[in-house]
Amino acid sequence: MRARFGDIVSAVLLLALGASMFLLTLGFPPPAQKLDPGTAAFPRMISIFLAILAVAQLLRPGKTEGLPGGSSAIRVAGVLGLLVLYAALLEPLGFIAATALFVLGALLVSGTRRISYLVLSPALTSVVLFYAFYELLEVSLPTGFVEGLLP
Amino acid sequence: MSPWIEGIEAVFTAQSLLLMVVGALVGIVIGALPGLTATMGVAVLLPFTFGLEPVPGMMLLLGIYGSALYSGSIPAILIRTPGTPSAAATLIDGHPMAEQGRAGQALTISLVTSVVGGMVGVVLLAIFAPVLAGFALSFGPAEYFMLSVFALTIIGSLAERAVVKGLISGLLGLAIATVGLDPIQAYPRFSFGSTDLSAGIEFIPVLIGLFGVAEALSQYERLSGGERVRRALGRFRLSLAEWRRLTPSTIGSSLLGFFVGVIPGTGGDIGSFVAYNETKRFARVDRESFGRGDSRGVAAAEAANNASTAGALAPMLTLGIPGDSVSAILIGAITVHGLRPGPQLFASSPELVYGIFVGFFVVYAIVLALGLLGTRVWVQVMRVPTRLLWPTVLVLSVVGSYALRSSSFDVFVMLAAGVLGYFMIKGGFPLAPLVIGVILGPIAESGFRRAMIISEGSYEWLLNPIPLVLLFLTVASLTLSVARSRRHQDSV
Repeated sequence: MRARFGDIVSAVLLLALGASMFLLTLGFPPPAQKLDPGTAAFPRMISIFLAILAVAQLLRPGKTEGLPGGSSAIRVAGVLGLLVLYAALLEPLGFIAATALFVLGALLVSGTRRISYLVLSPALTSVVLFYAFYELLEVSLPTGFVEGLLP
Repeated sequence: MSPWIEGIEAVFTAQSLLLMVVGALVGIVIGALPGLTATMGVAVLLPFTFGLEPVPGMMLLLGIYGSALYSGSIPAILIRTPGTPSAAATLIDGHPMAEQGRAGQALTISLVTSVVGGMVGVVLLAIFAPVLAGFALSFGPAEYFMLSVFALTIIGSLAERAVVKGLISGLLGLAIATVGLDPIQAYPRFSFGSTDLSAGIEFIPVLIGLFGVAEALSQYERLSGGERVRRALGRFRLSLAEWRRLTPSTIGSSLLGFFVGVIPGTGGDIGSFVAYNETKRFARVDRESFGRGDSRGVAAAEAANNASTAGALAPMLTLGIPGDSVSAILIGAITVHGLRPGPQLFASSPELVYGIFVGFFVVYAIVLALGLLGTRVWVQVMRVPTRLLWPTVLVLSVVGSYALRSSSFDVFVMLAAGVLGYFMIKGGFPLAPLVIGVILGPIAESGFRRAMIISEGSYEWLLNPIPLVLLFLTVASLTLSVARSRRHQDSV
């Protein structure tokens, strides 16, 4: 029962997405050239097909895998939270500090408790990737306090 | 200068060759670890190519891809878990062989037939792609619109038992592609006043989110501590008579795999199952031994798996239409350098196109060498506890999306795509159609609108031969798959 519920929820969300997409296109400007179907035409087509398929799914909901519960759910939510924090801190802290903190957090969430892993993995991942991208491949990465200390 | 010479010159440089070997080594590790797929490997390691020239960057990715496809068969044979989805057909006979103490032979067969399949596929690609590209040069907006529609419906409708979900996934991709300036009027759609959104959603962060973060999140649900193989591997060598027995199925499956791969939406996973079934159907002797450790089954699955990935590159190179998730990522690797895949690429960047032909062939030679040198070593890779690798996969996803335009906005787009992808995996929605929809969106929309403008507002362009055939194929594939899924639902 719970499995079918997932299909119903996603169908309703898709229907809402289709409807709001369609409503937003009503505010789009008319075509600049006379024969051009216009800027609203394609998004409107997508929104209509999306709504039709959402209804099709609603009428025949199937079985879905369902979301995890218990410790699995906590692990997934924990990693996701860490990722959002990582993305937010990337520019303020610089790549190395933000990455090291993220890797440490992600290892702890996954149940790693060996001190050697918890110390070496964050340090190596952040510094090696920084050098590989920033120095070797000349790909831009945000720098902060720690990067200033490095040779 | 001949384009072949340009391709050879671009590939046979110290940098390109080194990157192929590095890519192949990394790919073997990725493929041998269950959970880390070939697609994910190419997606999260894509940022390494941003700072490289197009040809060496492509060689790195092809190295990763080709070798991960081969090594995905190692856990399939030894622990009955495909290391990458396209190795699923390999385990049908590969694992029983291991149970009979013939794991070493199964690994050798998988190595050699992977390489043969890959090489046959690349040769066919090199023969057919330039012809196809010449033909595609005459394509106009109407053809591109219908091609996009055909590609998306077939990709969506091939989703097993989930036609509606496959199509929804494709439409979501198209919807994401409409955000930002429209291709003709330059009106900022769905931007809600944000300058970042009016610039549009880049597809590289989306695909990294879907194939890197979404997969990593679902792997965090069930973390494994590494697999220790205690099974005796047995001997690795095969006699000449045994090889002779495998030759017909290997060659047949390589050819079949390539042509299945050319059809949009059919990657190595579908190619290998099709070839496996056909090999079994056409087997004149011992048909009943399939599924019980018949070496021909391993050969068929692996040869087709590798040949079909070369096939999937054909629509990508000649039309700019991705045939599967990995060719979508390779499009990303090409567009990052300001190039556009499609028929023009054959004239404007012959060193890249022919470099891909030459390089992919060389990659398979490298895979063969690495496999012969160290299959026993690669088996040990499975002992690596993957939970130590997931944080690095996530860091690479963040780096890749940030480095593209030095923008935190792209990182959040990547995360949003990751969360969306995670819920899609849980809800049974395939991810590949979404990525392909994001790429096809602008092609389809500008094709449609230009076709309408050229034909002065009428739909008569649909009656031109190529669009009409594509329309017919689109309707046929949809009808067939809907009928198939109804039959399946009724029989449940």
